[in-house]
Amino acid sequence: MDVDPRQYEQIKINDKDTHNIILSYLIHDCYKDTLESLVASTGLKVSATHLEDMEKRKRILHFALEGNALDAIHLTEQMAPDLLENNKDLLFDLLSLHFVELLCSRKCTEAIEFGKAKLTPFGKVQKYCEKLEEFMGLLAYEEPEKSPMFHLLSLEYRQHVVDNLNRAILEHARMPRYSELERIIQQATVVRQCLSDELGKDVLLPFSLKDFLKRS
Amino acid sequence: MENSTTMIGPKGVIKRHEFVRILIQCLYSLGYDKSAACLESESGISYKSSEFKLLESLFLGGDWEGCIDKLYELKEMTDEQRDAALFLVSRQYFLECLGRGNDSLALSVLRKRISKLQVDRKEVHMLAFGLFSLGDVGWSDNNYDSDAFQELRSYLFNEVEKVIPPPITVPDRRLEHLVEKVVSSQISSCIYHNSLDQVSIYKDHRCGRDQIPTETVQILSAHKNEVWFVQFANNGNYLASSSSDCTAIIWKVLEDSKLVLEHTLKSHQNPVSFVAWSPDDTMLLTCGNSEVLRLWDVETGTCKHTFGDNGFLVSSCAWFPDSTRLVCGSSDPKKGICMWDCEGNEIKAWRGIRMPKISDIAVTPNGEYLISIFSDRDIRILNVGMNTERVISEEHLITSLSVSGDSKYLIVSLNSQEIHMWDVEGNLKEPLTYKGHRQHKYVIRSCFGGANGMFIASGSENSQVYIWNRRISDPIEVLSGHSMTVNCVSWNPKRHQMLASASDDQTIRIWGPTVREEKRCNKEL
Repeated sequence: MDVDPRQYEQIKINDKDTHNIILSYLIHDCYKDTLESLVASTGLKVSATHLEDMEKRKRILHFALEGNALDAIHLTEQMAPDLLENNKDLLFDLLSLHFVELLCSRKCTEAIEFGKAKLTPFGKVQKYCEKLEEFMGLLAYEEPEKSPMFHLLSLEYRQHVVDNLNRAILEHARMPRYSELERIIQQATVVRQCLSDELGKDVLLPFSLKDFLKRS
Repeated sequence: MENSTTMIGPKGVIKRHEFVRILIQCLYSLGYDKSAACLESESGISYKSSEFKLLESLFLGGDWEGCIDKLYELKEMTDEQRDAALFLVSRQYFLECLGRGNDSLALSVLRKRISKLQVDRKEVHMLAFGLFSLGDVGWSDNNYDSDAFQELRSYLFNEVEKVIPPPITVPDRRLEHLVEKVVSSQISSCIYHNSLDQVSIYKDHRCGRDQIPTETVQILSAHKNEVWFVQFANNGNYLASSSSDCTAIIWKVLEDSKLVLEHTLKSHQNPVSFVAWSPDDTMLLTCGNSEVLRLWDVETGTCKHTFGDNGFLVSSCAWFPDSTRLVCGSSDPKKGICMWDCEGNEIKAWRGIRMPKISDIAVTPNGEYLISIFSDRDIRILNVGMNTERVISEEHLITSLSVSGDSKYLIVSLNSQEIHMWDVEGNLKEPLTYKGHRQHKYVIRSCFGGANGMFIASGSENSQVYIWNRRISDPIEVLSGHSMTVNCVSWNPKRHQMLASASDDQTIRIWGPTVREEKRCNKEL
């Protein structure tokens, strides 16, 4: 079953809603310049503190993505003092990013020192042990990129940690963890999936946002 | 120096040099170091090969690089074996570096020597962990001295030895292993083997038929009608028998293996076709096809309890290992299987349409499985703990069910003149079969017996008793003596050479081994 696209035209969309959706997305992902442009073109208001916070957040995330986890941690602690204290998983992930950075720069002795000081304390808690083993295991390889744990060195992995950090900081500032745009797409996908399942039509492919957009 | 190609033995398939080497190993393992060294010098054959001795000295001396190089040189190893040995050597190298605080060398060993081996990745990662905290690889933070290293090295080298193949090493205890293999094989093929004792290696092992019961040693005639059932107590000190004369009798087995009547249990109104000893042998259950179930105290011979009533017909019963719970099956389809305690309280019941007529029931001695025969042709094996069951459907009428002492096997007698053996857990797709006896019309029962449960015995309609070795489907002995159909047999679980049989000729016969001529003469004198 597929809804007749002409039915979409029945639904009226408020301009303000559209603007807010885009706004929330830009804020969420720290696109400062684009945001300023949009504000100038549409006459929407964004507070100065909002912009400042966004700038700070952007710097933090940028450091983390580059692999400079120590600065990212430092700034996060300045901006949101108890955030990492209460979010040990995130702290571990960030520290391990630094560890990986040291390894990739072939600074092995430093890496071992850092690991001993900062990472091994996590080993007392069972749930970190497996992850710890994986990171420590990287040491055994002269070329960590060729080890079974090479994914820990990848950009995707760093991006994943950065996303988590972003959401944590937003949550701390009582802002939504997910932008409105993301939420809408998630909701549409899930609902479509449910409908497909309920109707039980095997002939229907799993919902693909891309295809859906192409068609409309 | 011995010529490596000299052979020994009549067939010339054994190399003398190898034979001497395993002899030397045997002497060392038995603790005869001096003799072993003497043999080494006299024969010129060394227990440890020269390559092995070199490896050993490199390892114990801590020359790790030398040891590793040597391992790469050895040609008779597969890559897998080599990697296993290299791992053990490199790991010790790594750990000793750590122990001495030489972290950078340790790291280099980990990366260059260990990481590239074909070994479990987890082991490698665990070692990496050791760079961070020595405690986790089993070492405390003390500084290690060379004595501790030395001891550890000796112990570990034994582990290395195990992964290095022959001919560089000799597998542990090789001579004992070879001899044991032959002896086990002889015991396996010994069809009359009926004891748990050790055998002598002075001669090839082969038991004669004097190991199993083959002749009548006693006839018990107390019953006044057909004897339908016999069973020895679990401790082998009593025999219970039941008859169509409506009684059951408890006999005592004396020291000299003679049986005497102890109690006659009277109060049934109808023929008693089944008895069951409690696992602790203090109680006996009796029942019949049209009868209630009675519980008797063995010591006093009095009836302690009656289960059911005229409307409740129990066909067979069995005990759970704790001697406090019993199950009985009914020939009345509506009654199913009931579990009671000794006071008569019902604990559990399996009823319903899926519970048709039960003709026989048993519990494995370990209490894990409840086995029942229903609708005369189906064997239902219920795993009591997990409440799962499986059913084996036979094509012919089943007349008896017996379970082996080790709880692993069951046998059923079929009126197609075959006995089928199945395993309880369900690995066998086809049963093992035993034939030779006669069974068409009547209920004929069979049982396991012998020192390891290696024998099967059965009654027969041609008044004979049949004995099989489980490995062979034809009987190894056929015992004559009864004058009418033999209904049931029971093998004494503790006196492995005593067998009892119950017959329509109103007697019970006790069978024992054939006493040899000289012994018999001596006895008469």
